[in-house]
Amino acid sequence: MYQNRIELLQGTLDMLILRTLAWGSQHGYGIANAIRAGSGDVLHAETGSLYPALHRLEKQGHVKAEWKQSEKGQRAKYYSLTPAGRKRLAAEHARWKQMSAAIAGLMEPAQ
Amino acid sequence: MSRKRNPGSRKRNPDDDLNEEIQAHLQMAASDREDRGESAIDAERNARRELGNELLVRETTRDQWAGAAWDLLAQDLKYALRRIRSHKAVSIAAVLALALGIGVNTAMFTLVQKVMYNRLPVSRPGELYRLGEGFNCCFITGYQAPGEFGLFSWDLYKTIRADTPEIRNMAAFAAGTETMGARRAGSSTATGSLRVEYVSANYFDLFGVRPTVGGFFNSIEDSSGAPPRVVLSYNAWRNFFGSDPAIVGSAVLLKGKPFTVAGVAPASFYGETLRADPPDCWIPAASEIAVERANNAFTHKAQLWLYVMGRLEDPGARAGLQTKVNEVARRWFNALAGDHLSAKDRQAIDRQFIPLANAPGGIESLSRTYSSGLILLMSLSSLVLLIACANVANLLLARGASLRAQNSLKMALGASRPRMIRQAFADSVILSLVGGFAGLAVAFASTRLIVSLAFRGARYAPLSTYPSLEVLAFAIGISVLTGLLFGIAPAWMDTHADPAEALRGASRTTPPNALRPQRLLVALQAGLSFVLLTGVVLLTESLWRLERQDFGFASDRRIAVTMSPAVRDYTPEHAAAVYSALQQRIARLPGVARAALATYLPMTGGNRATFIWVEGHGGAREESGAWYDKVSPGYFETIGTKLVRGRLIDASDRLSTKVVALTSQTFVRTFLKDRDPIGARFGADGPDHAAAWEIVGVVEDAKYDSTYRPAYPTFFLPLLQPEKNPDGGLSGDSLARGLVIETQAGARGLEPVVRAAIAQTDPNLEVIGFRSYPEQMASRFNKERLLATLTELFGALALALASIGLYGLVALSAGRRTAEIGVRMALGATRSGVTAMIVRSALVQVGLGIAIGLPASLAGAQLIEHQLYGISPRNPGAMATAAGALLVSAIVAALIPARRAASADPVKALRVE
Repeated sequence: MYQNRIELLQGTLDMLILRTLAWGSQHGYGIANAIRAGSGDVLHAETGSLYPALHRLEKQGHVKAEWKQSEKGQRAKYYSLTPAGRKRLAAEHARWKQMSAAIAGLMEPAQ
Repeated sequence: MSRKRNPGSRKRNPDDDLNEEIQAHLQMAASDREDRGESAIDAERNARRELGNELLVRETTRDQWAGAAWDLLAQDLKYALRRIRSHKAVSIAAVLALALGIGVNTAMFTLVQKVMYNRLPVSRPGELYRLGEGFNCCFITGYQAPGEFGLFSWDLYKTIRADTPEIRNMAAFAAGTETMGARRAGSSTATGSLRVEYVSANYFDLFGVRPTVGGFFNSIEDSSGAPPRVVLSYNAWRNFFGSDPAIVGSAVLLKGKPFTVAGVAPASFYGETLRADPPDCWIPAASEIAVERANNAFTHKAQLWLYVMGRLEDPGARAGLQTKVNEVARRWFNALAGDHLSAKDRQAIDRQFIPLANAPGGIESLSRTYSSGLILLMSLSSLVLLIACANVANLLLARGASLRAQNSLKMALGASRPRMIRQAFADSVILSLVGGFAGLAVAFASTRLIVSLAFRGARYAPLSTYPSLEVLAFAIGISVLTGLLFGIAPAWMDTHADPAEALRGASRTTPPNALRPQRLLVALQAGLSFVLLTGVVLLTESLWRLERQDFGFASDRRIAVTMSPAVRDYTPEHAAAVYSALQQRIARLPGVARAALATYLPMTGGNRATFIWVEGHGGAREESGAWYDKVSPGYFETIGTKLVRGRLIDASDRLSTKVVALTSQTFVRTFLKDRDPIGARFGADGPDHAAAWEIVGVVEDAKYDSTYRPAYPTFFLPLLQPEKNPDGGLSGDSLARGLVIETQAGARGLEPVVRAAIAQTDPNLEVIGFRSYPEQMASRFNKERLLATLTELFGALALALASIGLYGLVALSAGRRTAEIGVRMALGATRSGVTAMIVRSALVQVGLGIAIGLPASLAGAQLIEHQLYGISPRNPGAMATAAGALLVSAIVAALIPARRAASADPVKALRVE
């Protein structure tokens, strides 16, 4: 299982965080869980990359943070998308689609 | 920075915030694991393992904050302050050296800014333009040399003003001020003597200043009929009239003529020229007719005596207006020559050029006098700062040596090099900023000192010594620059520490070239000091020669009194009687050895020159002019000028006898060549009067005006054979303005009795100045003394700094060689032998410095050649003296630590690890 873990590139991690937050506000632990579960346990967002990325996005104004009680009564810092974040997500998504199509075209040329 | 916080929560440290965020993460992960069936202990341990290095997570997250760079900087500054505090002695020495270096530079900058980039304290000085250039003074006729057209006659000024209305408020003012005796009307005692400047009525309109009380002049006052009024300066109002606002409208007598006080100028206003003793009051140029009567310049069309300035809002119009002004002036000169316009006149008129130039600083004669000196001082003070930099760099290097182990360890543990460089610079910049602030105090004190030196003998100097905003900016800027400059070497050394060295730590393994940077810095200091010291020797020697040259007259025990008659209605007979009586009365006073009168005295300012015609030279005018003075009997005995041939002027030369003349040796050489001067005749009123005066004696040359140039050709006429004006009155040329007194040894407090004696002889005579001759002479050398004194001060600073630097180096290297010294002494070296060895190696540095400094000081001396009198810039003696002073102080500085090292107990020295 360990071998299946893929190191996420910085830009990709930002996009995945934004994508996760598009469903609604979430804390850091929740985001990490969502990415792992959503990728079938393939993608792991290391805390050492996740939190710097969250704080960077917050500083850039793509997400905003708020302290709230979790469903289990735990006080946690919840992040949510800002309008600028939504725009960034759309742009990243478009770029990723273009890129993956291009890579797919190269790796598996049409028969 | 946007750090969002939970609204309602108290203001929190972002670090705590991040910590809580991570802890929440851990708790949620652990509780999920427990839900999946792990034991509480396992859940927590696994959650932590999954998280990884918590510290690292926090650190990398914190790096994302915008403020992180600032936090790091704050940390660096904190460490720097800690280091600075823990090495107190080094820090204090560094701050002191920097305060002195930055202080003297800031002082020089203050003066350069105030003197060379002065802006008059008037409304919109940027719009002020001067017509003409140069500093010709004070009354001339004829044409002005190219590049020196500055003086206008009233008529020329009025003509240009009428024809170029585009130059607004074009005002004229006398090139020189005149000192006049003043008293308040109705008061029998004199108020004092006031410096008076003649100005056109629109003078104050030009500057757009507001009166403190009263008002200024009206345009009607440009015509001769208007009742004369006077505007007082704020200072004169305060010092002479007790700031009495009721002075407006009352009368003040100037030279005995009543002037109604129109108002008082603002406190900041000192006129159009920044100078010592600015005018105490301004009177309309037209009132000069009433004061000077037949001798007036105002109605004399060709008499050039005024400077002219105006206001121009659009600088683009300057070139066109300049052309126009010159066309008008050319027409005026042609009209003045009229029918007598010769080809020579035409040529001369073509060469008369009046520039129209921006003059926000007014008439900048002070800047002309001092700019070369200030630039010289500024370069010398920057040498001092460089030496201070080298010194502080050395101090920090010495400190760095003790931090070396610590730095090696830091590097070994992976400290980043940029961060360490930044920390090293943080140290130096903090030190230099502290030094800079202390330097402001030094700057303030030294600016005051410099101004008092430059204006020695002045009643008032309108130069504020308070630092301006620009000066503050300069001090801070130069501090930071200095910090970076002297921080380079320590920063490099700190960060090139070999990590492995930290683990060795033995003092015996110091590589032989470990002190090379320090040695080079000390040599650099010695070299810079050598350059400065050469300058010190040259300028001091020059001043010494200047002051002790043979002036051709004696100043010891002599007093120079200057006076002016309030009313000039003497007849030649009456004047002769007054002067004889005055001379006798003064000579009889107790404590007075001799007394004599002259139209002017040497070195008191004001001199007269004329063209002459010598009998037998075919009626042609002599090429160069001659200076002249009229003197009473006993004058040469009193002033101490020796007779070379013939006889002196004596009491037998009276109105009724033939007019005789005495000449100086240079006069004989210049005009008579090999002829026997006794009996030769000459005149000054054209070829028809070439036989007017007969030479009866020759006196030795004496310097009456310039202290630098050789004595001018001069002749002397008897004061008691005065000349008449066409109206029968005494010619202004024959008024005695100087009284010279030779006192008996030890005579003191003569001023009141002399003043009383003058008042008793003729109440009309007002005393304007009373000064001992040595003091009068000293004030002639203000500029030279300023240069010499400041250079000496800089030299002393440089020497002290270089000596401290050398002392530190010797102490450091001796300390490192303790073991070696122990071995040498154990093998039989004597104490004096060891001392000599250490001093010798220190002198190598100084010798190297002198070798570096030699070409620089040769070049530097060449640059100050024009400031030198009687000494060549390539003076081996001066260089030898400078090198000697440097070597002596180096030996002293090296001897102290050397002796200490040599007196160490060899056994102990060997045990040093």
